[in-house]
Amino acid sequence: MTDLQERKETPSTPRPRSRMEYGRGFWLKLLALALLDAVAVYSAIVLFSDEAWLFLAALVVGSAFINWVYLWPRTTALRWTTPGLVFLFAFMVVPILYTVYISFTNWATGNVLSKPQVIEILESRVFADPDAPGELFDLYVFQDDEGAIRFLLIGDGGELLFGEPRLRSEEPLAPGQEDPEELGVEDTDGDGIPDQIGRYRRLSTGELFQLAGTLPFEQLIVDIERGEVQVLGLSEGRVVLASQQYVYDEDADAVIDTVNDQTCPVGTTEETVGNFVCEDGSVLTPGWVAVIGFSNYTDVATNQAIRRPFLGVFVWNLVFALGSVLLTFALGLGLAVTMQHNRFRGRTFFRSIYILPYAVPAFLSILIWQGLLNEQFGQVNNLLEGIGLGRVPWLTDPTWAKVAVLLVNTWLGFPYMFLISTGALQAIPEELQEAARVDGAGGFNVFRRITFPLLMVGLAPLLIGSFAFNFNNFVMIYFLTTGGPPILDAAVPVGATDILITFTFDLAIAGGRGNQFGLGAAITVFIFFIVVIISSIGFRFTRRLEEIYGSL
Amino acid sequence: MAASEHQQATPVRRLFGFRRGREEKIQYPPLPFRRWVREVGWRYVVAVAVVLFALYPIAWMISASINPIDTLSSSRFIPDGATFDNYRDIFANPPESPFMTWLWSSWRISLIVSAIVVMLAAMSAYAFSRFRFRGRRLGLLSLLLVQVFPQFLAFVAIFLILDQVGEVFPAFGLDTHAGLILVYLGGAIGFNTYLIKGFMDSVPTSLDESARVDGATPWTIYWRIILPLTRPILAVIFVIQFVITFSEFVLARTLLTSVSQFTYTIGLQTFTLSDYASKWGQLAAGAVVGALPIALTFLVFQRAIVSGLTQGAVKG
Repeated sequence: MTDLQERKETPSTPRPRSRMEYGRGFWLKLLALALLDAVAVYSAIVLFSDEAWLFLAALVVGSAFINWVYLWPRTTALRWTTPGLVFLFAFMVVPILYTVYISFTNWATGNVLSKPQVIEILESRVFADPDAPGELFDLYVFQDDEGAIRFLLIGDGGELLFGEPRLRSEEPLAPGQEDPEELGVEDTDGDGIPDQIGRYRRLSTGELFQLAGTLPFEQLIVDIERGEVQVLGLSEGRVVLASQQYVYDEDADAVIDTVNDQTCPVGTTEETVGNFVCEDGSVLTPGWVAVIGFSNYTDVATNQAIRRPFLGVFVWNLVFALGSVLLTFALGLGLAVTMQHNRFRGRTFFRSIYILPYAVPAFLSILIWQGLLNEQFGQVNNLLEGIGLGRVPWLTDPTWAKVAVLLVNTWLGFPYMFLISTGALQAIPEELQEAARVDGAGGFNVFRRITFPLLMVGLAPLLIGSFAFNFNNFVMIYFLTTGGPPILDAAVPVGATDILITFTFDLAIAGGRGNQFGLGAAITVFIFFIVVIISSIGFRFTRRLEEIYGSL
Repeated sequence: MAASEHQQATPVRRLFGFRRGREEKIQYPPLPFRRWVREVGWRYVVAVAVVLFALYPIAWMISASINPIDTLSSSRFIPDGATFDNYRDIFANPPESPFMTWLWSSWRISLIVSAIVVMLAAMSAYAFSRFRFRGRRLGLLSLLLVQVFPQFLAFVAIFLILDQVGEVFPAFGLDTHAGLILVYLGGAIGFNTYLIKGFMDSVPTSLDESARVDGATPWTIYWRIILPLTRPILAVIFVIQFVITFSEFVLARTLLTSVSQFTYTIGLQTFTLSDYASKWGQLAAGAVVGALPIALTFLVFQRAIVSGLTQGAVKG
């Protein structure tokens, strides 16, 4: 306060703008900007060499925007908001738009690459007939001090071939990298077989057996000019002549299978639109990501195998969210009303205890509940048996699992409802209830006609918020039941307590049947729409938008 | 003038003001016992019943954590031969389930995210609260709209984006904490900007006007006037954001793959998928260790946090 007064006494003329602009802050800002741009330029080079055009475009636009904001004189507000907006845009807006795009594609396990990548993979595939007699080689294993392994192959004509082995599943290596004659061949014991080639030393039989214990010899390949040499055993290799099997024909947009002499155009059905399909009906894998329009959406609506589980999940999702809000609100409000009495002492004490379920991170207490509800060992069943009730299959029976989910969610959620109800009750003027009582209204009528409507004015938006939260309450379901118990006859992995988001999660990421990104994204977009509907109802209720408009 | 100023400032002050809601100690004349039971006594019965419900799993969590036998069904709250062995196992950080590594990862990630979110969101909020610029109204509306979507719903897209990012910048790709932090920042800034803006609006503009007359720059006003006055609510948002980040599962589970990179949430969840019935005591001890600091923070700041929450944030 004194600070302000002192300043007021000294007459202050606004300092010239230019002096403020080029103060220490300006140079710091310029330095930060220069550093940022240096990183951006480096990234641009990396992105350029990776041919990641989309990222490159995003980078260029982004850095141009940031430079403009901080160098252009008339961007005051943006200077304050840009740091936050960059993150918001990159990891919130872009993912939402990207989700919408994915929902229109066939993106799934087996279709994750781009079409050029698929063609490249197919064209690199060589055909090797494993039963062809081929040419036989003697094989010797060499190793240098660092453990690098090389194979020496000696053909019938005494020709020396030297190369690095690879696993059959790995990419072919360029043959003839190291020429044994150039490295220097030494034959110390004079048996006609080299003992030392450059820095590589031939392994003894003992060492060879030791190595065979750690290296899958039967899966090793040595690449030479004529093709691949398959390793048959510890001392023998066999060349198998190989040829390129698929050739891509750009004009026909098809690959030609040179071995079986047929063409394989792009598939035409919904399942194969991202694959080449040969005339004999075989589908070439891998496939690529293709835009398939509304197929994922129509699948959800028409494909019986998906529609039935989806509808079941959707209905339970609504029941779960609505049930959670009603149960927690009933308990929370009931408790708040119970404790709302002049002669009731110890409210602070009780509140400190009631806040506990809320204060423990939900995922921890849900894990504890999962243990307590265990059918055989769980404390809850022990308690029930102790008072003469039977054991309940809490997490294994479809209906009881739903009860368990609602029970635990009530435990988790009632403190919040209790706290906000208490706050709202205190905000209602005592006189209103007094007046109603004077007019002859009974206790219950006062509550029903005066207190409750007034409460709802303030609490409705929070209840809708709670509904929206519970609609996507992933942790609750996933940590208590993992969506289970599973529904066995469904075509997609789904459980009795799955809600849409856990269902989608299993479908896209964690399910045992591969990643169905496209279908998962379509369901996510569906959830987006539901959230929008819930929120707009919420907005209407709360007149929140009017408040914003009012304060704008 | 002074009155309206006071009124405007109350939402911020009220958070830590302990006057409101404190019980008035009025002595009422004692009631006859039967009437007391009918009017007041039953209320204690209900309240105590709910206390039992609220404490039930927490009590068993603590009980199991000091039980030498791994059991979920002990019939007594304080088990025979109570021991801290489970805690010792947790703190020993076993390599197959390194609880301490997970916990430290969670704390580090949550602290960094909350600090940066509060910093950046407060700056944006200041611009939205104090400057009048073109697109402000649109900006606020779109902030709110975007924030309607829970970010984790887009986990498929975020996974694919981060996969691409990792191709170019391995330090920010999949299975890195840095990448996860970036994603969390994107998800949290919008809503908190909106929340903080509301509180900054309640700081009277007459304060910054008089400072501006004295030649203060927007930065000085922000640093010397707005930030000190909104510090309580920023602290609350920091705590709430910490707990939300600490408890986040979907994105962490999608983006992190190696056991040593796990957060506490994924770590404990995968732990329960193993043969955890035989390690129940460890899980309980792990839960206690994870929950204790956060629960204590909640209890100490309960009034402030409750007010912050009822402004609209819902705990995740």
